[in-house]
Amino acid sequence: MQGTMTAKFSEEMLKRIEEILKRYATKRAAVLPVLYLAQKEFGCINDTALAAVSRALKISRADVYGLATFYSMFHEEPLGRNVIFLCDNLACTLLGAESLRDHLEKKLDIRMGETTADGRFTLKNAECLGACGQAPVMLVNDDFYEGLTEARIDEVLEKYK
Amino acid sequence: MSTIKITFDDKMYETEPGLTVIQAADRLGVFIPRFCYLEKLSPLGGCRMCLVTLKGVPKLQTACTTPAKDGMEIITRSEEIHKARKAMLEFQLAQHPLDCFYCDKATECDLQDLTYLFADIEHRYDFPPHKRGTVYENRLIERNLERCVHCERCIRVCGEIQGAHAVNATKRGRVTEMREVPGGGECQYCGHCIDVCPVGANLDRLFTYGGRPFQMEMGDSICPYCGCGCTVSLNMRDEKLVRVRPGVDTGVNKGSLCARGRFGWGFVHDPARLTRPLIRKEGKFVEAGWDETLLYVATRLEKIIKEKGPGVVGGIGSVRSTDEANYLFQRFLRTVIGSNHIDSSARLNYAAALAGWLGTKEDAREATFENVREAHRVLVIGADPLETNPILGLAIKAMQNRGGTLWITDPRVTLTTRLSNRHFPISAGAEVPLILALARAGLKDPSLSEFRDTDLAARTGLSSEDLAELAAFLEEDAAKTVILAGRGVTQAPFGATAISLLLRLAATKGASYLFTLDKNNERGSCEMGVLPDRLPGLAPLSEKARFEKAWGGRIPETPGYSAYEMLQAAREGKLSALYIMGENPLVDFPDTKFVEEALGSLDFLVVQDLFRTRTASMADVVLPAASFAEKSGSFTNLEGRVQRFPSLIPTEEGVRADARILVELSRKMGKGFALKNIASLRAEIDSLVPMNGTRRKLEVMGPPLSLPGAEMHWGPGEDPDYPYVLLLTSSLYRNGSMSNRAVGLKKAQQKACVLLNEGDAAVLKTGEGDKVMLISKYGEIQVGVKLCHEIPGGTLQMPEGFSDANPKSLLPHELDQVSRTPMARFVRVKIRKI
Ligand code: SF4
Ligand code: SF4
Ligand code: SF4
Ligand code: FES
Ligand code: FES
Repeated sequence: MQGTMTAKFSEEMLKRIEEILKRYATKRAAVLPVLYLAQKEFGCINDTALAAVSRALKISRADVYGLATFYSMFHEEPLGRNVIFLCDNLACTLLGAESLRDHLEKKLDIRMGETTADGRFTLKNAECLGACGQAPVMLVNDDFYEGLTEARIDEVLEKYK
Repeated sequence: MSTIKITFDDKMYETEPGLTVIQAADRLGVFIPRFCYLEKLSPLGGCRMCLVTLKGVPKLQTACTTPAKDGMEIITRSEEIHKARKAMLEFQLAQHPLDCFYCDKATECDLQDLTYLFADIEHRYDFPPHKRGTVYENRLIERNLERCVHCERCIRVCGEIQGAHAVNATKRGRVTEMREVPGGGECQYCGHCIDVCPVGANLDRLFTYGGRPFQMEMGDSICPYCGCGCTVSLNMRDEKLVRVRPGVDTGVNKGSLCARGRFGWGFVHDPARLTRPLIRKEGKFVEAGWDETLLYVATRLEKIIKEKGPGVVGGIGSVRSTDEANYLFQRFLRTVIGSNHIDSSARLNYAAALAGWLGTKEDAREATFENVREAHRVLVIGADPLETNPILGLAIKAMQNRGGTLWITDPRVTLTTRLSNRHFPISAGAEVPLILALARAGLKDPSLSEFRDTDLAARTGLSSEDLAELAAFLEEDAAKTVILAGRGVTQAPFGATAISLLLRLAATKGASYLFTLDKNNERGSCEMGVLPDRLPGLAPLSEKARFEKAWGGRIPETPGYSAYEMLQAAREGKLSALYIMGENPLVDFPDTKFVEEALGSLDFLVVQDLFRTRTASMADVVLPAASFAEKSGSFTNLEGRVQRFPSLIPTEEGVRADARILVELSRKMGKGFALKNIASLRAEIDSLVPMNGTRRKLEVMGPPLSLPGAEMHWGPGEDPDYPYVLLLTSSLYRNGSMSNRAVGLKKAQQKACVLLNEGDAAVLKTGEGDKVMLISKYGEIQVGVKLCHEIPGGTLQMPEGFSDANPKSLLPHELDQVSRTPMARFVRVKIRKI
């Protein structure tokens, strides 16, 4: 495939991968944290990212791809600047996650899985975020928000440009 | 061996220990259904069709993952088991498209068979159908995602046996899809994932709707491509090939095939196949009848012999054709023509290995594929078995899977160096100094004392520690060590001498050895006497009386010319006629210009081939020959196994098998061979070459080979005008004219490309896909660039065998003085952007 022989991580990322590898007995075992770095560096898990991970860990691209497509937090398409993960599992749904989803979709004028035209937000559903006691919940980038209402969502989103 | 006692359904059996329950059941003939289990793969325990009851264990267990233990009582049939298995099947069927009507797997499908067996399956699920469709991302394999039963056999076979890891479960969950990475590029087109798929989810795209099994005839043959000699099952419909599969775990390949064996058969029915003899008249080819043509050949040859003597006629036999045809070919040249000028393109490889073998007194053990699989260590020197001999490559992978270690010394970056546990990147052309260094360490031979270790180390480009480790590698565990050598050695100056040293080393330490052979019958053609100085069975010319008696003719006493000596003689006017059977020197031999001039200087050139190759286009007469599928005979594989195969499809009108052409031509020349068929020919060979295949070492041995001088230089040297060193590599997808006419292999890889280091590319301002001109002192070619981070700066790598860009035309043809083999592994070039 075009370019797959040359895709690689930046020097800085390679150093971080070195550090990660020290924690594992085999290179293969490090694939998840390295995929995470790849997503940071390449914006998503695209062909280049797959090739770079495969080259860094000496495992096939298909094996990396199989893993990347299993975990919902790795994305094949580039995402918006901010990513909203709205939990849609049982507890959150019982406490109104569905109407929050409608609210978000309407407010941002996108459907679940889509990115706003200005690239500011991507909206994604999440499996149980492990905070059922505070349902309904969402994650914006690495920040966690609980006990959500429509008003609270409007307020929170203002922080993300 | 101790045994264990186990009970299946109240019947007691004895069996070997160390099996799983399903393995024991299979050996004892007890039926247990399965989707995911396959003996050659690691157990998965995924499909749960193999559920059984173990007495004393409350829940049903999967027979494929449960070890069979002494005293175990197993129930394979009960109401409970039936219900559980049926439920699994119901689950599979709930999502299955049930498009058996046009599924190529129908009647050979495990899902059909098991459903038929269980028959009354309920349909309680009402899932929305998953419209995942069929993907055609792989150019040769259709992946029907809806038919998949998620047994993961394809993933396991691709990773565990093929080592490609090209297919994996993606989007695991309700809609798991067995896919390759977007854009592909990792599949090696072995097609093994097609064979192991229990349903029609992986299918051969060359076959699509080719026929139902009952509409086809099937027969076993031997793959015509490389020296592995794999058993192939040819599937024919209406006397045409429609598919090739491996036999069911038969042959040296044990159920595997490589891309060439499986997808490379298209040349057999290529419209460009020759079907009428051609005679050149006033510069143009005209079609002619066989009788007329053979009479013409006979008359021309007789006239030349009459005018100039038989010593001006030579013959190039075929590393592609059968043992029998090659035997007849040399008999024809020797007794009908009266010339020993006989050789083949085995000169480019096996003949040099043979020269090394014949010059070695010590008899090292020759390895078999089985020895390689069971070895603990394999040392590869100057070979790339994963490309040249893929099934031997699989044996190496199997060795590694069992914990064995692969070390390789090679200046190139290849599939085999990537697979290796340790790669010693020696300098270009450094195989011989490396072997000299190993021989010095391991043989303690005073004749090697003039070499200095530091000099040798410097020439190999390795540190003396590396060399010491390599030497030590051969000291331990020798009985389970196999040394593999290939063209990196045989095509080097003093390559035959190096082979001889390697064989002495193997014999002294107790290791075994094998040579990688690119072409299917390199070994057979040599052993049948297609050599200027050896008769069938490698008998020296001094034994000729025995053959003269059998053949009723006289054999010249002095050895003839080898391949390049014939070409040289042609250029000098000392050779007037050349008969080429199934070879294409203009493409396959180094130094294209030289070869072209030589062939152009001949008075009379006969070429016998399937196609009008570039060589055939220069001929005076072209004789259309039969392919492997249309003739019977035997090929000798790289282990020395002589494997017979039958003719499975009729020849087109106008096409004839090599052996038949030779018999008829001999008759036209008034010295007809009295042979009725291949069986009588085989009988003649067996009577003259007792124990064909096991060579009588001491009787046929030659004198020891001379050593190079200590000052000898091997590498490409320096030349500022030609700053890059081009290393030739082999490609799985091409090895000659048949592969270039095989649609499947062209799909696998369209064109040759040259690998260029990333840094060099930046300096040259060229990128992936750009076209460049490679120019050497001997020729130039145009080729596309592929970037590579693994190869060192200043070197290029390019495969041989593609018809679109032939690096052999860049090579010189300097001959080794011992083996007369041209040195053809590297050449200095410059690059020009276009
Ligand atoms: S053809 Fe061979 S290499 Fe390709 S995906 Fe199938 S098993 Fe793997
Ligand atoms: S494609 Fe075939 S072999 Fe692979 S998992 Fe699906 S059913 Fe099994
Ligand atoms: S390994 Fe060689 S003999 Fe076997 S299928 Fe491939 S080309 Fe044919
Ligand atoms: S269901 Fe939403 S956090 Fe658990
Ligand atoms: S055959 Fe045992 S679980 Fe599939």
